[in-house]
Amino acid sequence: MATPLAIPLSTHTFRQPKKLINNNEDLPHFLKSKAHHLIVSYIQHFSNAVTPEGSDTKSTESRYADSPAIAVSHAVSQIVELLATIGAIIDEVPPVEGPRRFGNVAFRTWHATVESRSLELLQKYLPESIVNTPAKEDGVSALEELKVYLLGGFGSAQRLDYGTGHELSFFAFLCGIWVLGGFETGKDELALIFKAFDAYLNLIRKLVLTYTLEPAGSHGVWGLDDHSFLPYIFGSAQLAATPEGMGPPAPGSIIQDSTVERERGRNLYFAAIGFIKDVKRGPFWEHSPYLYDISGAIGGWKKINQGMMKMYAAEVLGKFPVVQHFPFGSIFSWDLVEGTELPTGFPSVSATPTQASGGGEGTKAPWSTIPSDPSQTTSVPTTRMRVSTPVSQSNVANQAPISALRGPPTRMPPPFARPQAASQPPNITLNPETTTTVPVPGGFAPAIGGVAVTTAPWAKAPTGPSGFGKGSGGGEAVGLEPNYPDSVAEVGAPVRRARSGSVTVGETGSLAGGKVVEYMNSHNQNQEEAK
Amino acid sequence: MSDLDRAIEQLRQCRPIPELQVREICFKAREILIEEANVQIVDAPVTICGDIHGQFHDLMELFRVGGDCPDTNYLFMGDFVDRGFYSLESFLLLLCLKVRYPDRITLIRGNHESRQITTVYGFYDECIRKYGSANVWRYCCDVFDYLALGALVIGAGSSVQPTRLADGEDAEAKVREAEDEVEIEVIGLGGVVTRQMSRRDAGMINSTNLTPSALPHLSSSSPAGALLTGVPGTGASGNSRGISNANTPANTGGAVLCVHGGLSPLIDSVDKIRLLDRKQEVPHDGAMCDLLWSDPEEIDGWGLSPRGAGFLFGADIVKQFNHLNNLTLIARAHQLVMEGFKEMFDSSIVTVWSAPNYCYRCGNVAAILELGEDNSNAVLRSGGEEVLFNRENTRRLASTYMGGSMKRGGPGRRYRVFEAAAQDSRGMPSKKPMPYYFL
Repeated sequence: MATPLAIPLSTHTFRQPKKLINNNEDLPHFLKSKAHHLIVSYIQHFSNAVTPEGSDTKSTESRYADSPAIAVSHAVSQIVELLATIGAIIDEVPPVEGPRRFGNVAFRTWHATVESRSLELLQKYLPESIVNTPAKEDGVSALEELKVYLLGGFGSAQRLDYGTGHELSFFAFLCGIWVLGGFETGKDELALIFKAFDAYLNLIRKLVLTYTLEPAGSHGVWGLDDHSFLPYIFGSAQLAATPEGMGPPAPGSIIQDSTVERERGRNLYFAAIGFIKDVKRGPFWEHSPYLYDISGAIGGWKKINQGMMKMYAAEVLGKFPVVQHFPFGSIFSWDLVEGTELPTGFPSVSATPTQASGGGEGTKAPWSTIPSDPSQTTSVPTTRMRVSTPVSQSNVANQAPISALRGPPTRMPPPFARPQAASQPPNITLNPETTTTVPVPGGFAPAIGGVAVTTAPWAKAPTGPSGFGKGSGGGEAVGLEPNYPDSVAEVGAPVRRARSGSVTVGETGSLAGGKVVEYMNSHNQNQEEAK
Repeated sequence: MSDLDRAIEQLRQCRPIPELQVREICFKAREILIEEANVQIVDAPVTICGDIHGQFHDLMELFRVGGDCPDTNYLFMGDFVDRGFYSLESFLLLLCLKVRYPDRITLIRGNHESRQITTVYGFYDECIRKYGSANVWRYCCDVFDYLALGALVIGAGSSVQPTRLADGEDAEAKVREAEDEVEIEVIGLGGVVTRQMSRRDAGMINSTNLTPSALPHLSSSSPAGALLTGVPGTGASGNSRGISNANTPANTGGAVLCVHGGLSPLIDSVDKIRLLDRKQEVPHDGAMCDLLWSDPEEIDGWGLSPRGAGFLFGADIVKQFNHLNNLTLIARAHQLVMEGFKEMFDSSIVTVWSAPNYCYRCGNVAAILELGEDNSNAVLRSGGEEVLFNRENTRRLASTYMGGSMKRGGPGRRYRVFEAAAQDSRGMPSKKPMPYYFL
């Protein structure tokens, strides 16, 4: 399947990838883009590849990650080497001692070091055909395009966090090489997942532990996993061919420490579970209820594999906060897949080019105009200030003279009558220095989006509180009252719950896609109660 | 035993109560909360708690360490729900206690007490999973709208009565030395006094000099428990006999503003908070939003918050606000602190964090802040309104603190640090409700 998507190196013009998903309304475009198609195709392709061909023990064992039968080509071993080299930089940059809130600021140094060496490393470790492809006059080199995805794969230096958006970026890096002919279809799949991608996952775990990277946009116990998703897809695929009750460990055995210890070296699912057990203290069913529930799936690993892919499509690729920083260039193209059309009335989004942005998922509120990575943008400081979204304390009560005020006003103004576009109050003078460097003022930076920090899930105009287990977000502008859907709309729409500030996938699936949730907004509810 | 007491009993065992009962309790809670001011006045002694985030067993540990409700007067600064597994049980227990003992527990709103946030960060999912419908979530959210936005603690003493140590020579000496006026006391894990600072100590306390290694559980030898003398339940009232000392300008700790997040550029006085229309979902911006979302930061003035809501504010903002409002301290929560609490800006603001080992993995300890009462100054004890408008007095004190040699004018405060509860006997659920994607 990879062949039709292949890109001819000699004639292709590479482009500097750019962030193009700027709000929730861009998501439908993304979901029909060539980039999305490519990602989904490759996930499917690798999942199929690591699924045993038969239900017998031999087939199953042939898909163990440590199986001696897996042939590692030069191209794949080079990726493993690349990751080992990047991983060794951790030893050069020990975590900073001393008080800190959570994430270790030394990670920024690590990240900067990797970035500074990245081109050189790619030249050394990527296939020569790719390395030697020069840039066309109106484009960039292949390495420069790929580099963005590689660097996006190691978490956010700014926020000191890591999540599935970063994982996606690295996966795209591997896919990009594949598309450019760097790997051989039909031969390199197993090694790429079990050696290269596994090496990546282990590197990430080391990073998380060394620099206490936070889970990006953590849902706490109500997410699938704090950091990862793809190992659950590939790991369940490894066991998906064997009928329940035969051979490989049953899904329910994820709670048995001994089984996890035995399997984590050869199965990506168990490796991920093992890492959770390494970092979390407490009963597994309590700190990871989602995985615990899934372990009871009727239909065993095959069902889990299918469910994980559905969930990935909805909760990672379908989530604005997760994919908003995925950059689009020539390999991962923003163009629509032929034969697909956007719904009528849908704005053409390719007309909104923005600053290029590094990979990584956003964990800040999407409506905010702070660039995700200040080092990679040229926007003027004012765009980072919330000038465009004036702080509208527009509560009418505030306009009352202060002198008369003790306690709440006797008559509350109607809660929903909030004049919009209130002028910026005179007493707000954002410190220009800090607003341009936020969120890293000094060494005590708030690590945003992770365990420690909740970010606002509402977005600029269209994102809104689009949760509630329904279709995509209802439009709503900053300064307006949050728009709680009074009823469910768009049941089963692919984009269910856009939230910002987050990457980690996974809410309880009982809500996912299509479960009808009806409720009224609080105001009406109150009135009803009053009656 | 009333139904309410039975519900409290059941929730204490971490068992959810029936939906209809939730509805009833939420209704009663609203009737109580609607009468409360945006900034609720709370008399010291009081024990101030930070984020809970559904960590029910740790909330039980908090009560064990700080004393039970209603024996101890509590003030919770929001973020009861989301992320943890037991948001429902935690919030409902606190709410039942509020209904049962309205004058002994104060609940103020955190940024997670919101429809939108709870649908993203777990509480909604939890309700669906535990009840099969969103009804309970809806009842709770309706209560959220009525929670106060802040609280003003008045009548706090300027010192805490030092917790006596049984033996421990060094510690004893320290106590004696500081006996006249202990401004800050830290009771670490196992009830061990790890720090006492007299008002005359020039240094200021923060995580710089209270690193985890200073906590007994992380050092090798800790005389755990042996030195515990504070009686849980009376912790906050440790200063039961007023200490009068000529060395101090006055025997009041002044007023302490408690708010979940922090300050707002739109709010220059506590009175302005009172003007807000709070009975609504937390807006995306504006003063009410900022109070619940902002963070202090080492900057000058105001900065953009990377959270995408609220602002960052610097020391100058806090000091000016405290000065203008005759506050000696702002207590807030909202940010994980590895050591459980962190004082900033010359102790003008403190972050209190009460969810130990946050999300089962952060490895942090938690803390609660006890403010003792001040028995020597009746004026400041006689009611909220009075102290608010008794500016002459407090302003004089404030200027003494800020202009004079006194570096700190904060109330006497005792921090009790605690760890996550043991997780020995939590039974595994037999049912595995299947997430949608895996059906």
